[in-house]
Amino acid sequence: MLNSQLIKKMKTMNSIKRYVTISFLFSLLLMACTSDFLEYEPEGVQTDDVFYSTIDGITLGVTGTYAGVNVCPASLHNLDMMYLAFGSIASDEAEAGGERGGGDIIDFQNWDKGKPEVSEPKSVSENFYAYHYKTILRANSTLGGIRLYKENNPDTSTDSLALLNQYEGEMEFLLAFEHFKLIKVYGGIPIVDHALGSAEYGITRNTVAECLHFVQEHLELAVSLLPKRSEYPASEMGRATKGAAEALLGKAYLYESSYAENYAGDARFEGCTNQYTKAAQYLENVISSNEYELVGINGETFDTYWNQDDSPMYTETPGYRYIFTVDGENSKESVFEAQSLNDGFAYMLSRGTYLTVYTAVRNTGSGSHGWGFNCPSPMLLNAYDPEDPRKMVSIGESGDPIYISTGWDTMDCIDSPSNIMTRKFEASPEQYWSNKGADGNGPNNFPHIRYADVILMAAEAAIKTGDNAKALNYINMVRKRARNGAASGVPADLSSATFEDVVTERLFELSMEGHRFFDLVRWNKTDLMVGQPLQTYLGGVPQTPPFTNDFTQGVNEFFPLPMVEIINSNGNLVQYPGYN
Amino acid sequence: MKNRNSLVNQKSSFKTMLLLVFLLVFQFSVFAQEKQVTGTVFDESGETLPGVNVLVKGTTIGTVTNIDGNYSITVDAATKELLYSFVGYLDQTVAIGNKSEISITLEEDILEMDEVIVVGYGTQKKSDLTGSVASVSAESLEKLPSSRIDEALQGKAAGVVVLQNSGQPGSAPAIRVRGLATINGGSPLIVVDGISGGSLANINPADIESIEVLKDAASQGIYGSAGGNGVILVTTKKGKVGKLQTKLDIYAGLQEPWIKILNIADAQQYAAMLNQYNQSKELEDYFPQNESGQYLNPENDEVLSSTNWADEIFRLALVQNYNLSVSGGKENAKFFFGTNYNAQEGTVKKTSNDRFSVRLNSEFKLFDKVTIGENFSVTNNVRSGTSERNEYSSPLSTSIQMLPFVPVFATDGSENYAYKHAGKSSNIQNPMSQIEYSNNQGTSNSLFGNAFARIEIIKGLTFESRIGISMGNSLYKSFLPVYVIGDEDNSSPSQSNSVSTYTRNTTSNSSWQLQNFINYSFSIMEKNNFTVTVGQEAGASKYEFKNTQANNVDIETDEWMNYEKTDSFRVLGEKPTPTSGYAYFGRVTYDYDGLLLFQANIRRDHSSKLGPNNRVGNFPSASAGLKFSEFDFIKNLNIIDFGKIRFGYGATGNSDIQPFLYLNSMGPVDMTGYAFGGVTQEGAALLTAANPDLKWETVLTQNIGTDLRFLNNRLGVTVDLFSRKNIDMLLRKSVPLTVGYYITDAFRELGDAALDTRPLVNYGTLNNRGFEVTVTYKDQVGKLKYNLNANITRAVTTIDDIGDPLYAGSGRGITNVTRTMNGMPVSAFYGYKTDGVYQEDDFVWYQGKGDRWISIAPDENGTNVVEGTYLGQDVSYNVTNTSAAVGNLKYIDTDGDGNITVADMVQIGDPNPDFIFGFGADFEYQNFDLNLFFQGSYGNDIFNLMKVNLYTVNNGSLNLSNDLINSYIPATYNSRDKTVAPELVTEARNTDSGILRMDGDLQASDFYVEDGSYIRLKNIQLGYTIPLAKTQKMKIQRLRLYVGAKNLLTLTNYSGFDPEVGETTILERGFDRGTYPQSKMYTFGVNLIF
Repeated sequence: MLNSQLIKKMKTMNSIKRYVTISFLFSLLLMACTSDFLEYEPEGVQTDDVFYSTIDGITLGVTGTYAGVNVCPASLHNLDMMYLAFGSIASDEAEAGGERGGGDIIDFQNWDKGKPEVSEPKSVSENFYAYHYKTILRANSTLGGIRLYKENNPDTSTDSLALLNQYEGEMEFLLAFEHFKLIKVYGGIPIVDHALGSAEYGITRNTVAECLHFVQEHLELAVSLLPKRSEYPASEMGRATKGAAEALLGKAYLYESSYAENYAGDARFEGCTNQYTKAAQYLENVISSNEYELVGINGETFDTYWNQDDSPMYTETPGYRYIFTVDGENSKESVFEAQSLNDGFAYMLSRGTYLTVYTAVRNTGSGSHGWGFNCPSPMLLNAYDPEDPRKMVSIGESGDPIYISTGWDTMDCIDSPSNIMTRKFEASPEQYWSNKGADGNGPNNFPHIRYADVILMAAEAAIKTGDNAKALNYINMVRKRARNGAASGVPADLSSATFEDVVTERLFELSMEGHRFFDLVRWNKTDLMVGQPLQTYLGGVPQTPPFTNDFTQGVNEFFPLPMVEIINSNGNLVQYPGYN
Repeated sequence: MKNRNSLVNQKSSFKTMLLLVFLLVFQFSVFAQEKQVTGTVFDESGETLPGVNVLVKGTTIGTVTNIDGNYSITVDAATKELLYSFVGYLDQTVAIGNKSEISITLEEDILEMDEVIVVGYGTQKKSDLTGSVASVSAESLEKLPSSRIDEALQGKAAGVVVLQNSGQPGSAPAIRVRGLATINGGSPLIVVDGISGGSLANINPADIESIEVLKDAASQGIYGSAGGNGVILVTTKKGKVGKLQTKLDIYAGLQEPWIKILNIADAQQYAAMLNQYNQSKELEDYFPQNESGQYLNPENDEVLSSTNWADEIFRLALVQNYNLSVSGGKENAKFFFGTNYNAQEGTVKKTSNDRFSVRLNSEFKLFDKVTIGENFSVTNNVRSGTSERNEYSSPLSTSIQMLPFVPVFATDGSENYAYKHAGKSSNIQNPMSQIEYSNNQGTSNSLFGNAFARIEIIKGLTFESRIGISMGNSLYKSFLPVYVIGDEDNSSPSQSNSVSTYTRNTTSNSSWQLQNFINYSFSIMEKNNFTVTVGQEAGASKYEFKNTQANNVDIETDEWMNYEKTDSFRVLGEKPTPTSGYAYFGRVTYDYDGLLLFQANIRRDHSSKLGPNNRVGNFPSASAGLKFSEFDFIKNLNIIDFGKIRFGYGATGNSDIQPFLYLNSMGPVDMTGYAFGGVTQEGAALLTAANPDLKWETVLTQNIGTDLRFLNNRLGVTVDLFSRKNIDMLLRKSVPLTVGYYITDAFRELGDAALDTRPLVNYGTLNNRGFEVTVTYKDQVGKLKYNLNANITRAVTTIDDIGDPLYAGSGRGITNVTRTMNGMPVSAFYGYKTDGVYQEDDFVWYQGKGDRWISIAPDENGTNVVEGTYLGQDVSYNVTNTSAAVGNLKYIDTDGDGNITVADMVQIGDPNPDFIFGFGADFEYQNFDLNLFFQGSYGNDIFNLMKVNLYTVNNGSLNLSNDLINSYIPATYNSRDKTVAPELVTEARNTDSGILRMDGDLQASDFYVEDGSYIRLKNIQLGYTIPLAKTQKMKIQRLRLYVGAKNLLTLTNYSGFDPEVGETTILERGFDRGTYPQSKMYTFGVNLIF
C-alpha cells in the first residue's frame, strides 16, 4: 500500500530508471540457463557406440543376434514353424493341418493350396520377412561395433582379437544365413549390408543372383574367421562354425547352380551360373574335416524319450530317432541348429519354441494335446517303404503309442486332414508338457543344417560333376545310418546312383524338416505338386469342397513380398510377375 | 453458495479481517487536496458493507469503507467519478458532480463474474478473461465426498472429461481437456500453487481453495509446450488474517459395488442350456433331471447348486475420512495447516487404499514490500489392489465367466479352490483363488511444495521468485505363493502354481523448478490499462525405477510382507530418466476502459527430451474480447445484463515423452537371450533408431466464446466453440520392414509400448472440434435459496496422416477390434456387421462329393460355387459365407464381392461419446441444504468382450448368458446317413427369438457392441446446520450434519458391470475386459468449525 504522494512521485520518476531496474532483474534471470543445461550423458539408455565400446557389450550384441534365429515374435507365428510352413506345408510332403475344418492360420492353408495371398494385410509372411531383417539389422550393427572396436583398440590382446574374429565370423555367417532363408522364400530380396539410415529407406530388390553372390561372399569371409566345431566347448554349442559356414556356402553354390541349370531364360534367375564344382568343394571340406558324423551309422543306440516302448525312457533308440529328440540336440550330426530351451518364461521372454506344440498331434485317446500342424501327406506315407525306420519317425498314425502327462496313451489323428502326424519334433512330458510355463516353451532345437543334408548335397554335387560313384557311396551312407548301421535291411544299399536317387533320398531322409519345397523349386520339379489333392480326409470323411494344389509354375516358385512392404516402399519394391 | 471464498460461511472471521485491513489502510491517511467526499455503502438488504474499495476511477488512489460501511476520500477537483468495488458484488461507478456525500447500494454479483481467478503466473478478473477457463471452487466440490480431487471434477466443468477407469480405491481417472489431447497419451499439466508437475493423487481435496482449468491456447499459452494437453491450476488454502479457526470434517460410509444385474446363468439355467445345446447336436443330455425338473450332477445325482461368483468376490466396504485444519494469522504472518486421513476399502475383497497427508502453507511479511512464504505437503499412501481389465486373470472378469455350478472350494476337504464340478472343468481360474493368492501392497511417499518471495518494487510492479521441490519414493511388493487348484489328487496343473514369485519394485523421483517473473500493471491516459508479465523458468527432474523379482521364496503367506532378503532378487528392469528444461515467457494484457480486451502470450521453451536439432520451440498465442454489454445501445435494450465475446488463437506444444528417445538405444530386452548348449546367455540388440530431429508436437487451438447474463444476472450462459489441431505428433512410424525396426504382433497383442521398436518421429494430425455450453441459474424464493447448473460438451476427434492403422483391442480370440485410421475417429470398433441369425429357411440340402448330404446357405451374390446333386438332379449354388450354419450370426458382405472375408469388416461402433454432460442443483432452506449432482455420457459404444464367451457354448468351460435360455435352436435332421434324403428329427424351437444358437464363431461383430450411454446420480447430500444459538455455548461456530450417497442411481442399457469402462490406452477405449465397477457409497458426516 502506498499513499498518493508516493504514487505521484513514482509517476514523475524517470522512466529510464524503471527500465534499468527491470532489465537488471531480468538479466539475472537470463544468466540462469545456457544450452548446457539440457545436455545429459544418457542414463539408463545405452547407445550403440557406447555399448560396443567393450568386448562384453559386443558379446551381448552377438548373443542378441543369435536370438533372432528362432525368435517367437508372437504366440501364433514362430520362425521355426513359419519356415516349416514354407518348406514343408507348401510342398507335396505335408498338409497345413491345425484346427479341424481347414481354416486355422489361413496363410498356412493358402500356401498348402499353392495360392499365397498377395493382399493379406497382416500376414505370417510379413512376420517372417520382418524378423529376418530385424536379425540382419542386429548382425550389421554388431559387425559395425566389432570393426569400430578393432579400429579404436589397435593394441587388443591376441586372445581378445581371436574372440573378436570369431564374433565377426559368426555375424557374417548369420548375415548370410538370414539373407539366404529370405532368398529361398522370396527370390531376389533387398540386400542389407549395414544399418540403414533414414535417407536409405527407399531400398529396392536385388536379383536372385546378386543375393546369392552376396551370401557367398560373406560366407567365404565367415569360413576364414570361424573356429571349427571341435574348437568350441560344449557350453557354446549352437554357435556358427567353420563347418556350418562351409556347408551353407556349399548349399548357396548348389542353389545357384540348380537355378542356372533349371531356369535358363527365366529373368528372375538371370546371372546365376553353374557352380557345382565350388559347391562340391565346400561340401567336401565339411566331410573331410571329420568334425561330423551320421549318428547311429556305427550301430550305437541311445537312452532317450521315445514313444516306442512301455517305459518313458527307451534305451535302444536308434540314431535317426535320437537326433530329433531333445537329448540328441547338438549331436555330431548337427551342423547348424536353432537352439531352444524350456525355461518356463512367458512367451516374449522364453528361449523356447512353439514348434513343439504346433506340430504335436491335436488329440490323444484321453483328450486334446497339441495343435496338429504340418501333417505328412498321403504321398509321403505311400512313398516310404513300410519297413524304412525313418517312416515311423516321420509319420505317426492313429493308435500309435504316445506318452503324455497322465501316462501312456494313443495318438488320435482325427483332426489331421491326412489322418497322420509327424513325430519329428516331439518332447516328453518332463521336457515340455508337464512343466511348460507357456506354449512357447518348446525345447526342440530346429535342425537347419544336419550332416545328412550335407552328405546328400555332396552326392548331388558329385552327380552334377560326373562322379556318380562318390554319390552312390554318400547315398548309401545315409541309408546305412537309416538302418542304424545294420549290414543289411531296409533301406537297402543302392547299387547305382542317379540324380533321381538324390531327389528320393532327400525326401525320405529330410522329410517334414522344411527342405522339400525349396528343393522342388530349385530342381524345377514343381509339377509334382501341381494338382495334388489336399485335405482329402478329415476324421476319415472326404471334405467338401475338395482342394488341390494350385501351384502355378513361373509364379509360385517364390512367395509374394509382404503387402505392407510394397506399400512402405512407395513403389520401389515390386512383386514378381503373377503377383499383381 | 454466495461466493467462491466461502466467506459467507465464515462471516465473523471475515469481518475481523476486514477490520484489520481497514485499520492498515487507515495508517496511510490521506492528505486532503481539493475536496472531500464521504458516504456509506449498503448491500441490497440494507446492511452496511465494510471493506468496500472506493477509488478515483482510472487511478489507484482510494480508500475502503470502515466497519460501519462509512468512507471518506479526498479527491482532486478534476476527479469526475468514483468506482466502488467489493468481492462478490458488482462494480459501481458514480459521478461526483458537486456532491460531497455519496451513499450507494452495491448489487450482489450473483454470478461472480468479477471474481479474481488464478491464471498462469498471476491472477485475472474473470470478467476480463479473453481465453477459455473453467473455474471450479472448493465449495462446489466439498459436498462430494471423494478421496481424490480428479474424481470429484467429473462433470463439473464443461470441456473437462474425467474418465473413470476403475472403481478400485486409489486408481487414477484419465482427464482430457476438450477431446483427446494427443494420440500418445497426454494428460493435462497439473500446476499446484504455481509449480508444475504436481499429482492430483497426492492432494487432499479439503486443502483445495480453487481449481482452474485452462482450455485454449489463449489461456494455456504462457505454459507453452507444457500446456498443449490443457492445464489444471490447483490453488491450496491459505491462512487469513483473523482469529484461529479450527475445522474438523469427518465422514464414514459404506460402499457396495454398482453392478447391474448381470444376465449370466445360474447352475440350473446353465444345465438347461447345455442340454438344449446337446439336443440341437443330436447328443445325449449331459445333466440328468429329477422328478421335479431340477438338474443333477451326472456324477452323483445331487441337485446342482449355484455359486454366485459376483457375491463371492465383492463385499460391503467401509470408507472413513478425517480432516482437520487450523488456519489463521496476523497481518505479518498467516498460516494454513491441514491434515487428512482417508481410508477406503474396495468393494472387491482385499483391495484398499489409505492416505495420510499433512500440509502447511504459510506467508510472512518481512517489510512493507517483501512477502515470503511456503506451501508444502507430504503424503503417504498405502494401496492393495487387484488386477482388472484382463479377460483371463482378473477376478472381475472371471467372476462373470466362471461356471456357476463349480463350488468355491474343492470337495475333497482340502483348502484348495475348485476348478471342476459335475465332470466339467473351467478353463479360467477360480475368481476367489485369484483374490486369495494375490498379495500385494504399494506404499508411496511424496513431498511437494514451494517457497516463494514476492517484492513489490513500486505500486503495480511486483517481482516474484518461486522455487518448487518435489520428491517421492515408492515400494511395491507382491507375493504369489505355491498353490494347488482342485482336489489334491485331481488338480489342474495349468491353474496351479508350483513356483512362488516375490516381486519388489521401487521408484524414486526428485525434481526442482525455479521461476522468476515480474508482473507490472499500469494505465496510460486513464482508460488504457496494461498488465505485463515477463519471466523465466527452469527445472530438472529425475525419475528412477528398479523392478526385481525372486522365485522359490520360502515364506508363509501371512508373513509375506516382512520378506526383505533382497540379495536373492534378480533385477528385471532398472532405469533412471533425467530431464531438464527452461523457458522464457511473457504476457501482455490490455484493456480499453474495460470494454475492449486484448491479450498476447509468448513462450520460448527448451527441453532436453528432444533431438539436439530441435530443442527450442516458440509458442505464441493471442486473444481478444469485447464486453458489448457496455455499449449504451445494448444497455438500453435491458435484456442483457452482461455480454462478452471472446476469440483466441495460438500454438501450444507437447513433449510428453521419455528422455533420450532421440538417441538409438541398445539393451537386453525381450527376445535377445539365446540358449547356447542348453544354457541361456543374455544378449542385447538395437532397440530403437535414433532421431536427432525429434521435435515438439504442436497444438494449434482456436476458440470463440461468449459469456452472457440475463434476468438480473440470475441466468448465466457461457458458450464456447473450439477446434484443436495437433500436428507433428510424437509417434512411432512404420518404416520399410527391410530397415529392421518392426511393429511386432507381440506389441499389438500385449500393447506394451516397450515392444514397439519403430523409430519415433513427428507425424500425424489429430483434430478435435466441438462446443461447450454452461448454464447457471441462481435465485431465491422466500427462504428457499437455490442454484441450478448444467454443462454439456461435445468433442469430435479424428485422426489423419498416420499411415498404418494403429491397432488395439484383442482378446478372447478376437483381434484388433479397435482401429485408428486416417480420417476416422480414434480407436473406433471394427468388425462384421450382422443381420440377425441364419434361419432354417436360408438353407438348402444337396448331395456333395461322396454322396453326403450337406446344407448350405445359397446366395445369388456369392462367388463360391458348390456343386452336387439333389434327388438325382445336378445342382449348383452360389454361396457367400462358406461357414454359415443355422443359428449363427449372419455377417453382411459389405464389399459385395460375394465372399465373407476380412475386407468386409467395417466400423461397427465408436467409443467416443456424442456428448458428455453434468447437471446439478443446490437448495438451501433455513438450516437445511440439499445437493444433487448428475453426470453422464451419451452416444458412446462399448465393445463388451465379456459377452463374447457368454454366447459360445461349444467348450462348456465358461458360463453363459441366460439370454440363451430361449435361444433359437435349429431343427435336427438325420443327415448323417449319406444315402437317404435328410429327414426332420426335431423341429426348430424359439424360431422367433432371433437370438443365436450357442455355437458362435468368434469374430468381432456388432453383436458385441453395446450402447454405453448413461446418466448417473453421482451425488446426493442432505445437510442440517444446527442453529448457531445452540452451538455457541459449546464455542462451536458451525455444526453441520449430513447424510449422502454417491452413485445412487444409474440409468444405462449396458449389460456389463458398469458403463464407466474407461480406457486401457488412448488406442483402446470402451473395450470392456472386466472393469472394477464404481461403488455406491452411503455416507454420514459432520462438519465442525471452532
